[in-house]
Amino acid sequence: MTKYIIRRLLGMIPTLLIIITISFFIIRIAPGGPFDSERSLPEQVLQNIEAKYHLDEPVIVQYGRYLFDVLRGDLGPSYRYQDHDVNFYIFTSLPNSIILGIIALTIAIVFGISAGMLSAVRQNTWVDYTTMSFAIVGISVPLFVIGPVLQWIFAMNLGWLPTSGWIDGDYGLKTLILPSITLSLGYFANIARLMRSSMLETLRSDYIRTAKAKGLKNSVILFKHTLKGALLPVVSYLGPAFAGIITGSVVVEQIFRVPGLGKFFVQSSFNRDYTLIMGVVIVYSVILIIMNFIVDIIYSFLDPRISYK
Amino acid sequence: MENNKDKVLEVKGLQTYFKTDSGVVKAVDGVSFDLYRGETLGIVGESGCGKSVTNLSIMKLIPSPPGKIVGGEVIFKGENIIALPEERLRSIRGNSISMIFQDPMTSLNPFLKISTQMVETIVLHQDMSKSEAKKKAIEMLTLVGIPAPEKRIDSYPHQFSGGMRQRVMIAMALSCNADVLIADEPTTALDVTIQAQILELIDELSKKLNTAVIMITHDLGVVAGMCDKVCVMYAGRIVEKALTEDLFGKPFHPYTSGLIQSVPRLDHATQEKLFSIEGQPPNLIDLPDCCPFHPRCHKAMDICRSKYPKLTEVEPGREVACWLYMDKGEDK
Amino acid sequence: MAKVKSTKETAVNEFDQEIKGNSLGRDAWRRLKKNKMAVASIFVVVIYAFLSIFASVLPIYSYKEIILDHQHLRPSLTKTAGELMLEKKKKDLYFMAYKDGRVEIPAEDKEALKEMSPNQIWAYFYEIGEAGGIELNTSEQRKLDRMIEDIETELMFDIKKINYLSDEGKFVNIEKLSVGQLTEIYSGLIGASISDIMVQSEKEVTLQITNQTKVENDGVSDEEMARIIANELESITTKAKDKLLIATLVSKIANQVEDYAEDDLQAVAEEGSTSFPLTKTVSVNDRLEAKVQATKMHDRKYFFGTDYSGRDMLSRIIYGGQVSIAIGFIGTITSVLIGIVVGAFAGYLGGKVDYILMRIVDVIYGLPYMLLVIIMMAIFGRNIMNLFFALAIVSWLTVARMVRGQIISLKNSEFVEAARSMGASPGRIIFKHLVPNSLSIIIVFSTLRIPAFIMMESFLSFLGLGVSAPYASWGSLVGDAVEGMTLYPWRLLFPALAMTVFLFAMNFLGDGLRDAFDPQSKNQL
Ligand SMILES: Nc1ncnc2c1ncn2[C@@H]1O[C@H](COP(=O)(O)OP(=O)(O)OP(=O)(O)O)[C@@H](O)[C@H]1O
Ligand SMILES: [Mg+2]
Repeated sequence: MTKYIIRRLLGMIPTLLIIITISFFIIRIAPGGPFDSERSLPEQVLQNIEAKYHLDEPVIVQYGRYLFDVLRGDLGPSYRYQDHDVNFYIFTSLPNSIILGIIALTIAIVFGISAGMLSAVRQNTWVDYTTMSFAIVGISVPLFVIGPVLQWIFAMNLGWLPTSGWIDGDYGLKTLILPSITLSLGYFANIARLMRSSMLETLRSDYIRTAKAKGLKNSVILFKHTLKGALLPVVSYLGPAFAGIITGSVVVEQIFRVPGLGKFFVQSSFNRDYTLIMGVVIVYSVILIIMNFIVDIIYSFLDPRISYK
Repeated sequence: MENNKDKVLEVKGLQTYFKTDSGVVKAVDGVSFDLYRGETLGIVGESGCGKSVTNLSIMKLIPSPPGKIVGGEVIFKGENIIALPEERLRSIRGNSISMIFQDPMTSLNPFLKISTQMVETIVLHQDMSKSEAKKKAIEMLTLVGIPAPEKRIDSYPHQFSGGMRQRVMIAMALSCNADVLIADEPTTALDVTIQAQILELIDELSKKLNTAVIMITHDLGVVAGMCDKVCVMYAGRIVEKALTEDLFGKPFHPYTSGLIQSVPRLDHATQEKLFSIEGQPPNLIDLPDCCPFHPRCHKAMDICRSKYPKLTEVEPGREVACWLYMDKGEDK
Repeated sequence: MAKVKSTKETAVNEFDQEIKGNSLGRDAWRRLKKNKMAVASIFVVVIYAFLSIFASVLPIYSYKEIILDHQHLRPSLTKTAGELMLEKKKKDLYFMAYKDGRVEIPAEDKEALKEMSPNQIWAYFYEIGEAGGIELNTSEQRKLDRMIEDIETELMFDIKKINYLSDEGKFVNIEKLSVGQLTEIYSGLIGASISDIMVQSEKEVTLQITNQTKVENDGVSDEEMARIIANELESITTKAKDKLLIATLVSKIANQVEDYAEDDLQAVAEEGSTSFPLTKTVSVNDRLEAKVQATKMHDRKYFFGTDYSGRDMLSRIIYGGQVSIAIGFIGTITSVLIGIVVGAFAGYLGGKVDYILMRIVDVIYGLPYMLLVIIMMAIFGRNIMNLFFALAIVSWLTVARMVRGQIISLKNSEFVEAARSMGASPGRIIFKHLVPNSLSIIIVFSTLRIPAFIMMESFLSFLGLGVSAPYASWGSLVGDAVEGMTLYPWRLLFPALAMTVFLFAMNFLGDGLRDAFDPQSKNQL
């Protein structure tokens, strides 16, 4: 197992390298540079700036330099925000994104799994129909619609919750409610549907019939015999769900003005703030890769048939 | 007639239907039989004739919906299982009546250790602590011939071969000294050499523990070797019921004789071609009131097409549902 | 046996296997028809498709026509734009009056006002004002009167067709005339010299081309841009240039004609007895006449309200739907086709090809690819083609995996093995069996993929990275609306609703298809 973990950790390096390479070159093959919009700059000043950021070097040299810096944990200076470097912006905003992401994920997983189980156990009752209708709403309504609509209802019309802001502001923890619900709804819905169908499938399986034939209580059958097998598809879905939550957080952070990483991501893409874009992409990718790794480990714990040697 | 005290299970007019998109499937339609202590009853018939459904109905394990037991009784030790409350039912399942399924590869929970699965059954039904139960489980595994059971008991099912898994199933089924063991084609999924061993094991253990066995099978050879009595099923009904030697000696129903003839036999070396019953069993939806076998029957008469022949005792201890014998039965 | 054909056989002859094996499609259709939600969804999808396809011939206003007077009008089924403008103005004036301290309201209402949203506050004063509770001063009253006057009289002209009496005495549509003829007509119309006009229109066309090129090559350095523009101007064919010249001249003539028509129709309108729309043939001079329709501009009705430029939301939602649905459908088809080809190759060839293709798929799967799409859109410029391309290259992965899996399992299945041993070529077998076996999965997948694609598109448009004005997509409409949603909730709700209903329908349909094709996935009943 330890060996497997080490191997997987090593395996992250090439993936990360690919991500860095692809984004590095996508950003650079596009015409134009980060300082183009500042047309008023005299030629000489522009050249000086470019030299300062090594933008006058051949791209491949820039690439090598960048890789080297990243290896040392230095994501470079931002081209737009002169006060601090990229590391600073990322590590001040990342915790906020992580808080939001973790809450959303927890909501999605806990409620999704419970709702799915409930609906499978009470198949074709009103509980099932209600849950599944709700789930299909969650799947069909994009989060950038849910967000504003929730804002409109709960913040503007009912006035129960703040429209935007963050936990360090006047409203405190209340600010977390709408963004995390918005972010989690789609994943809640997917998990609930997945859980329901895999649960139903497992309940139809031969080994559950055996368990029933042994005279086990329903609760034992459900939690001891069915749950593990039924969870497997949900666990495999978590990988894509993480990716989706990361992408979704970009939008949710915008709607609710959360001071997270997403804000920087969109802004820096527009501004061509090369280093900041790269920094955010790298951080997101590392999170995603680690999450996927954790998912694999959980999977192997659940399924004894998979052995990692 | 045997002593009533020894009768462990009595199935009376069992009817199990499935509601499907295309109509109601009458999978089991009026099946009755008795089972006595220590006896082995064979149930044979083509695929889809309702053997498994019959036996799942006995345990009230029919998936519902779509299935429903719409009529009949299953009397076990004086109680009608069909009408029992869930809790009482659970104390019978796996304890007094236990089951072995067709496919050992999928019938054990792949996510739980063998020990967990065996111990939970024993703890549930017998007054034992976990460690005692584990000892008992190891004992049972030894009995069914698993080598080094103390070690193997902590394995997961996927670490066992098919034959071993079926042995585990048998060990599990017999670990609570069941009165009735239902074996639903326990060897179909196994290869031939293992088949014989498993059957022998069931035979031996049931004799030893004085357990009544319902043996469901396609294989008439198995019936001939193991069973005391046989029920032949066709399209959800029993068409012939007899002691094993009678049935093989002189099959009454044309379907039974077809089945017997289609078994390859070494002593009939001259037989050029293997006999097979032509055609296929009918769809069990909207079966008209007729003998369901008549389209495939050599001896079909007009009456066969218009009325279903009731199962009738034609000789002592022999019942058959065929118009050929009906008059004869009434004559007596 | 021959008995099979006897009389009472009908029931006995129905065997499950045969029915199922032969008509999967029909069976699935039968099951689908039983599913009420799925059938309803089909209707919804058909209606949307109809609206999108026939958007240009539907009796709706233009989606890009900007009428600043009509900015942010609320949706109303009965009130015309004029009435709504007036209402808005009055609300404004009444509220100003309150601010000036000219309105007395009960103390408890004053408290309540603090809790109210701007819209509620306006409504509150409007009610008081309409009941006569607010006195407007003369300058305010004058403003209102002027507005009423404008609403009554402002006309909107729609020039349908301008005909020119040729020398042969036949009327021809001026769009069919040559550059020379048009120049001549225009010069006659405004009394300028032919050469001046020619120079002027040449200039305009050059400017047009330059601007167009600039838009297309957004973000290029200045020298580069100059080079591209020069190149573009050089390479344009005479025919293409003539086309541009004709368009320019026709619109100039149309403008002139509109001036004539305005005088003419205004006079008719002021007589007061006319009803609108007013369609008339106006002759400009002996040789030029035009069919003109005048409508009262403020008589329009906006069922879904208008946006910040006074554009009709209904029309924008329909055209936005056209864009979103088209991207969804075409994108899905493209990605599914790529996926099928890649998956079939990988599965069929196996070995190294398979390994490499699948590793590529794995790697892309592991990437946060929506992030890459966002970067690409931000950097390469926001146009529909880029959007489409960026989405298509990341969306084929799942289909590829699915098809590959299907092919591999088919390749190893016993019946293929058997067929092969009898000499049938495996390729033929796979394609013969792939069709019935995988098609259903692919159909189901594609149906579920369309809403996902639409979501991705609108996600990007929402961020301002996809479709941009004057074009619209559901995502961009929602994105635009978020800013002012307290004041103008209809701008958010209607596109959101339109989009949600469609996505709902597609998801229900996809679910229904899946259940229909694979009854195992749900319990039967
Ligand atoms: N869940 C179900 N839904 C609908 N029909 C069912 C269901 N289970 C069984 N049936 C029907 O009941 C009939 C009897 O099935 P059963 O499993 O008892 O056959 P069997 O005799 O055990 O066959 P085999 O020898 O193949 O095991 C079949 O025609 C089958 O179509
Ligand atoms: Mg069976």
